[in-house]
Amino acid sequence: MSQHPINSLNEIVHQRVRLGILTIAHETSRVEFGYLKETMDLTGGNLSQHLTVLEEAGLITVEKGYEGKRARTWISITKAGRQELREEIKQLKLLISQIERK
Amino acid sequence: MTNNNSDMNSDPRDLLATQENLVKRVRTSQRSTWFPLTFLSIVTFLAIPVERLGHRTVGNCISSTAPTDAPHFCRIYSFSGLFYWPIALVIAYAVISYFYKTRSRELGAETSAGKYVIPGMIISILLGLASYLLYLISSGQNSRLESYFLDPSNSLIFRAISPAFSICLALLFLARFERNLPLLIFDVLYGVIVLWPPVRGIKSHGFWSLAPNRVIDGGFLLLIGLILWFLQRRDAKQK
Repeated sequence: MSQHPINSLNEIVHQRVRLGILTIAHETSRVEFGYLKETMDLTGGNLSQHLTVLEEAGLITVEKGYEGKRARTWISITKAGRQELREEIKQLKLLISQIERK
Repeated sequence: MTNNNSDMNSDPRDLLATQENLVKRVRTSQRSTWFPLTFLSIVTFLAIPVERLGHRTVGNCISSTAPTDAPHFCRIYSFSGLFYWPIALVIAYAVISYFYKTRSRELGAETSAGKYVIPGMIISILLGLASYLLYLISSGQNSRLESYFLDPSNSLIFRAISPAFSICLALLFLARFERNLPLLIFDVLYGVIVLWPPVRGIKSHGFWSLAPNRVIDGGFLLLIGLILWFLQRRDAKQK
């Protein structure tokens, strides 16, 4: 018997904001904290919490630096992050096809 | 309000739609299509004086495959053009790459235009080499090959290795890189303009013979660039 797609979902990735962060990071070579905050309409504190969860899971890397006098935080997706994102999308599509079959 | 819990009870269709919407938003914000088009149109316009003033070689004039009383055909080359185009296009793609990198960094969503500029450089160099090879063949001593290439009915080969067509091919990679459907449509139109004999067959003689085609090619690129710039500005204002 095949496993139900819901059991294959990664709880860290299967969360609206974290899925959004990984999606945006996947479309860029690296994304800036301010861009994520604005695009996802989040507070700085909320975004930081989600970034910490993703970083601890090894799905993103966070790089802090300066451009001129301006502090910038850049986020890059890791290889594991790309794999988890691909897997999440695959499982979501599977779930949708199962729902639509019913 | 968001939290750290996973959305196990969320509708997967809703999650996937949000994800797809984000992909679209990021790609749209990263687009800078107007810049390569405008820059390549400038490169095309600059070719007019370079091709006119550079050393020109007139190929041997021989008759076509038509009867002997038919007019003779000559192929006139701009020798400077053979070198100008590959060098100018490679420099142009390097500038475009730098522009994309700088602009996307300022935006906060850094990207590399490598998927466009690297194929663009390779195509420019390969078609530049092909042009040079055809120049060597058709400006040599009489031969079957020479007759073949001098026959106007075979001019499609020359149009297909022209710099304008190399720009057209590379723009397909840009359309894919930016997932830009309007650009793809414009590029197909540009390809028709570059390859279609009625447009290419504009009668012009002498040392300015290449100028009308360059004006058409450069003008079209500039026009597409301006239209896409206007569309992008309009989209940005609506958000």
